[in-house]
Amino acid sequence: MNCDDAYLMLLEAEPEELRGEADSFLSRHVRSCPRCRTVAEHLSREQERLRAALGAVRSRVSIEEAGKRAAREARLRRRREIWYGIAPVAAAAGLAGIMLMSTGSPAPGPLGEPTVTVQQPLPPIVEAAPGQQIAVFETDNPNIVVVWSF
Amino acid sequence: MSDVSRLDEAVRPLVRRAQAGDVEGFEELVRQCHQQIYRWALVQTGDADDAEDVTQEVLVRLHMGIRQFHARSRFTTWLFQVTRNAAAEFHRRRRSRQRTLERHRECQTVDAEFASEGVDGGQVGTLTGLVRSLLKELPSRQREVFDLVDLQDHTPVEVSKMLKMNPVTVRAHLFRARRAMRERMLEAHPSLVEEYRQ
Repeated sequence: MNCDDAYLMLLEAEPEELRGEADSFLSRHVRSCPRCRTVAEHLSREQERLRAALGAVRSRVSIEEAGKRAAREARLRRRREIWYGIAPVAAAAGLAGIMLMSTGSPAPGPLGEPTVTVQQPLPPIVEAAPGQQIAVFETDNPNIVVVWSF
Repeated sequence: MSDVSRLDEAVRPLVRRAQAGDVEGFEELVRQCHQQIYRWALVQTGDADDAEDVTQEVLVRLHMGIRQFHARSRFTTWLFQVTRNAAAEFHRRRRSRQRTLERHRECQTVDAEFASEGVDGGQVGTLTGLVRSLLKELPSRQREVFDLVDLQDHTPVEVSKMLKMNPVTVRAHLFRARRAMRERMLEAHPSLVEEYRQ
């Protein structure tokens, strides 16, 4: 293996190959070639620094604060979920109640105003004596009904 | 044993306590997992502020859904999925916002963050550059695979299960990410490459 090939392979090599610890052509080359070893060691070192840097990254929020905030937010969400579960049932119940209460009352007009309904006078109840005929005449005046017994 | 495996061992009793409604158990679980969740979120979002938001969301989901963990997989695998889902949702919500403003802010945050880590003066530039390359320049899948395999010591097979991805695809992402990152590592030291090529 020449150094040009080794250089290209070093870019994708396993960490143990970079350290010359693997049983591979590249590792053997790294162990025997000072130039390639220098590059391999540099890459190993940089990767370790990168590992340490990322391992040292800490959140700015304190852990205690994060835990408390999470618990608080979780409680709020649970309450919200319960409410979202109940809301449609409550709305349906309310609507049903309104409909029951409004039964018999005038329905709203097309523009929302209540319609005025005219109470129709009940037809008069007249009982005829046995053997008699009765004729009932309604007049234009709803308060006047003519009853003719004959 | 990797950090994640150690974490799994440490949280096992805490998960049971939290599932039983023990408040202190949950708080201790948060204490143990917070750093790891933040790390995953940072790699998935590529931004320190976004990672904070995703971490917080994961903790809320953890609080609400801890009973849904049935120990069929490792707790950290389950938690990793929760984090990925939260990050994906976060990205969906953010997609409509202006990218330019976002990038400007992200770069500033990352610079400030790593400059304050106490790394030696001369190294801050290259290390910050490396971290920025990882977080900003690598496509998210490559970033995720590179972090899990090369920086957190998962095997490619484990990662293929975690990411629900073909192992061959995982390796392809890994090689591309390694190449990109190592080219950056060498770019920062041109003398080394020149010397090598003479």
